Parts: sequence; structure tokens; C-alpha cells
Amino acid sequence: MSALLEARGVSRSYRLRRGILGGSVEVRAVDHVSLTIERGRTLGLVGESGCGKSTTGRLALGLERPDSGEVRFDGTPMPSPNSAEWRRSRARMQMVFQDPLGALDRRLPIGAQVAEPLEIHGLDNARVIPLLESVGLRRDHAARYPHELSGGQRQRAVLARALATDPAFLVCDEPISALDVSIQAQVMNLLTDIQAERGVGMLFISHDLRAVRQVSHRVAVMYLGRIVEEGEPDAVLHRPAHPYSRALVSAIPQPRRAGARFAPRIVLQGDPPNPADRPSGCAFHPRCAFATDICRAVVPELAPRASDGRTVACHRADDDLPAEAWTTPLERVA
Amino acid sequence: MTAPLVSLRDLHVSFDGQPALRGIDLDLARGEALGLVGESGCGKSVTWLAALGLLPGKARVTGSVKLDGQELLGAPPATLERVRGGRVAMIFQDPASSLNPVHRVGTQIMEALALHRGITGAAARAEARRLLDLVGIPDAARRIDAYPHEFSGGQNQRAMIAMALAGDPEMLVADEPTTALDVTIQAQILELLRALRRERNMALVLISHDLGVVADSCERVAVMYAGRIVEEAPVERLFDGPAHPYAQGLLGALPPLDGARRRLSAIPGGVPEPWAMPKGCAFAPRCPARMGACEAEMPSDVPVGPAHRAACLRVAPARMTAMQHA
Repeated sequence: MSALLEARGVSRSYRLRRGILGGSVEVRAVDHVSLTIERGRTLGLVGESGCGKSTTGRLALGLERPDSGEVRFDGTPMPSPNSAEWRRSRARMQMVFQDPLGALDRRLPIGAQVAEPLEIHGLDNARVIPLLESVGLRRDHAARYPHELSGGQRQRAVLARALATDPAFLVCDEPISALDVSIQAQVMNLLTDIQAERGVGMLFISHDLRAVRQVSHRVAVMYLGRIVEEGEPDAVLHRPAHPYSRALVSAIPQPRRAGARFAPRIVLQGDPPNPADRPSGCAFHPRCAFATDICRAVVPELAPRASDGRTVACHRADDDLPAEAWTTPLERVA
Repeated sequence: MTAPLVSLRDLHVSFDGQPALRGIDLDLARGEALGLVGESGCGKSVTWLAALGLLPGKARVTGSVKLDGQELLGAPPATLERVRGGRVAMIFQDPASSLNPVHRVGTQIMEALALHRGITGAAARAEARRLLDLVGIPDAARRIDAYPHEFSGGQNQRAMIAMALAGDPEMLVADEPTTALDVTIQAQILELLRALRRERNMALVLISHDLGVVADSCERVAVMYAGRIVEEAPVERLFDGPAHPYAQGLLGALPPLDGARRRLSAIPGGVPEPWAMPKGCAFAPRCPARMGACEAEMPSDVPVGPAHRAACLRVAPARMTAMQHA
């Protein structure tokens, strides 16, 4: 059986104008990204702002066409945007956004918004109430307007609308980052329940590694348009292979329990690089403590490393890299 | 014990008759790092805006806010202006909107220096450069003439911290200072705050919705819910044995980083609206350990252990360590 969604070597660039008179530069948002999402499974995609994770989500949904590479959904190539075939395929894949208030129409009651995809795709709109109930909303919420609901309820309404056409594939782009902690937990539980009941495949885009571990079966780490590491969530979180993943994991703030010991915190120097001014070789090398000459010259390929088969794009994946190599800005301040 | 640097007593704030703070008692020692956690609308920012007299005129503020024994509530504007930015500095979530986009970063820091330390001219410029250097802006000598849009988000927050340090404050209130930043940049800023605090023996109030951030940087935590502090404890104690069901719920809602993956113990429902505040404990409608008495009156603070208090009737008879969210 083929995978639900498969992207092979997908790239997407934008042209960005520089200044008022300046010429345009090419910004490579997504660069040779390959990923696979199985039915009923979730792939978590992590990375910092501007790393191309949202563009990857849009490419996976066929909302944008890749410049090169191919996206296949259910074994067939993604139809070109706005064709009749593409419109039909919309019912089978849906997106959930970060800001539920922005994703809802403020002038329409919730019920009407959930009914809309049903009407567009010629489905029975008697399903609105069961849909609302399936995401934990009440029957009477159908008559309410978005501003009358809390943040968590709005995100539930967005999910109900996304699930209306019974999609096989869901892209969730930072679905919980605008919500309060206790509400985040409700939405994560809901996503896991929906998957267990309906067997949807999900691409879960987030900068929050805790949330990604909670809902994903596999996780991919992105840096400046490329996937730098991929594997089981616990493997990547507990034994990150790529120096960038190590820094990301180390940056998760966590409670210091009495008596517990922690590895020294890795504090990356510098800011995330500008996608319009991509460093040569491995894009991470200016911030990496282990960079050597080859890292500055040659782009590392994403491949299984020899020791344990973890998929990682790093020239030094098989070297033993000591955590102490990272310096912290503390020394500079002191 | 020496007298606290700041002491809030029975602080109440209401907007148009609707309560936002319902009695806050809190002390902060010199050089101490206190975390204030809670969900949006719980009053964690309002507490410090009220304490520093930064709320709009329609807010009704009662109670007492003492800085070094000096009452700030109702103090003349001149006194407050000396305190704000001088003895107490504040930084906010969105650095880009706190900086003036049409003035150079250095000029804005120099303005703070002139205002609070009376330094002007070349001395101010040299001091601004030193501050930018201190907060880790690379090439500070040149970047002092840059505009905020030429800085990244993390660098803008560093510039804000430099400006906050301009008045040589004894206390820094950081309101969600890293929420708008990326994870690796967040780690940089927290590290910077830690180093600065150690060096200058500056007290820090870190307001955050993120338990991890607070646990990472603070010695003591106060958990707020619906305008009240429901639990206050040293950071390890709170994370090892939270007493209040809300604090337990918040910790249970945080996905773990290791161990078996379990269903998160989400707190059901949502925060009560200010106009429909329950008569008794505000958390009672969402609480798994609710009893009849919880709905009758507001629970008062109960000592749970050393420097550890919680406002919950369930905690009163004995310490209920075994009580966990189902």
C-alpha cells in the first residue's frame, strides 16, 4: 500500500524585492524536501520561524506548486491548483491554522461556517450538529458567532469545519500556539482522538517540541528550508543527532527537579539566518560549534548515518561530538 | 529576614466595576527571581501595571504597594516617574512595538540615560554602547546608530533590556519577554537575564504563561487564577508537589519530554468571565476535587510547607500530596 502523502525532492522559491530600487533576490523557502505521511499517522515538523515549515504544509496540500519535485497524494500526483480535479481533491485534505479567530468569518455563526464545506462539496448538511459534538462543542454553539466563543472553542470550531468533508489528510499549522496551556492540552487530546476515530494522516507543524512529541509518530527537524534530521520522536528528542536538533532540544525550558542533573544548556550564538542570504555549504555552519571546512563548502545530504541508521543531514553525523564544545554568552557577559 | 524590596498587600483592581485583581499579597526580596504564571486574563500583567501606576484612568486600584517601605499607590506622579525606569524597569512581550521605529536604538537608550541618570552627550553615547555590548549586540559601536527595523526580534529584545538597564534598576519586571521569540533565541534571552541578575543582584519578576520558562529562571513561583494567587512556593516544591488543583492541572497539561506517552490531563472548561465570577473558589467549576464548601466562600491561604502556601479548602486538613488529576 502506498503512503497517504509523499513529497519527493520538493523545492519552492520566491522572488523578494530588496529596497525600493534594488533588484530582486531569490529566497529558497523549501529546498529538496522529501517526506512521507502514512494513513492514521502524524508527522511532526519542527523548526524556527522562517525555516519553511508553513510553505512545506502548503506544498503538501497542493495549495502551491513546487518549482521542482513532486507531491503524490494517495498514489497519484497532485492536480494543478484551481483545476476541477484539484477542487474535488480539496474535500480530502484540510488545513487548521494558528489563529482560529482569523480563520473564522466573524459575521457568520459557527454552524453556518461548518455547513459551508458540506454545501460546496454537495454533502448533507444535517451533519453539522454531530460534527460540533464530535469536537466537544454543544448543539447551541451552532448559533453563536466566533467572538462569543473562547479561544479553545474557536479552535474546536475550526477543527469541526476541517473535518466536515471527512478528510483523509490534515495539515495543522501551529494549531495550539495561540492557546493557553490548559486549552492546548484539550486540543492535543482532541487531535489524537480524531486520528484514532477517523484514521486521518496529519502533518503537525509546530515550534514546540513537547507538543510534537505528544501527537507525532515521526518528527522532522527543518532548518532554512531543508530537513536536517528525521526519526522517531523519542530518538530525536533524547539523542538528537544533528547539532541544530541538539540545540533545539537543549533550549526547551524545563523544571529543575531537586537532585536531577541536566546536561549543560546549549545556547546558540547569533540569530537565525536570513533565507535571502543563505550561508554556503551547510546552512547551519555559522552557528555550529562543530563546523569544519567541508561544512562551509558542501551541502550535506539527508541520509541514514552508519551508527544507528538515523536520518540526518550533517557531515559530522558519525563523529562523537562533545556537548562542552558549545560556549555560552555567559562568559562574554561576565 | 530583611524587609522585602517590594510588598503588595490586598491589591484590588477593577475595570468598570468588573474585578481584574481580587486581593494580591506578594513580597519580593532584593535580588530574588519570582515567576508569575497563569493563563491569559488571570491578572498577572495587571498586577505590575497597577503596582507601577501604569493602568488607564478608568481602573480602580485599592490596597497597598510598597517599594522599600515607600507607598506607591496614590503617590504623586513625580515620585512614580522616578521609580519607573529608575528603580523598577519593565520590558514587554513585543519588543518591536515598545521601541520607537523612527528613532535610532542608541538615541532611545541615551534618552533613558538622560532621564534617569542625568548622563548626556558623549558620556551617554559611551554608556549606551557599553549597555548594548553588555546585552550581547554584536558590533555595538556601529549598531548603536541602527533603527529598530534593522535589528532582529531577539536583538530588539536585547535593546529593550539595555534600555531597562539604563536606569540601573533594582528590579526588572519582564512581561512575557520571550513569547514572541524563537526557541533558540528564547534560550539566549533567558540566559542573558540570568547573567545580568547575578551580576547586578537585580530582582526579577518574570511574567509568563510558560511553566517551563519560569521553572528555568526563577527561585519562587506564584500561580495566579482569575485575579488571585492560588499557590506560591519555591520552584522545586511547586514542580515536585503542587498543592492547588489548578497548579496540578497546569503541570498535568504540559506534555512530558520522556516516559510513556499518556493522555494529557486537560483542565475541562475555561476561565470564568469577570462578570460571572463564582461566589466561592473561582476554580471550583473546573476542579476535580470540588466539594460543596468550595462554592460557598473564597478559600483563604493555607500554609503547605516552608514558604509554600495555597488557597484551597482541600489542602487545609493535611497536605494532599496524593491528590492528582484523574
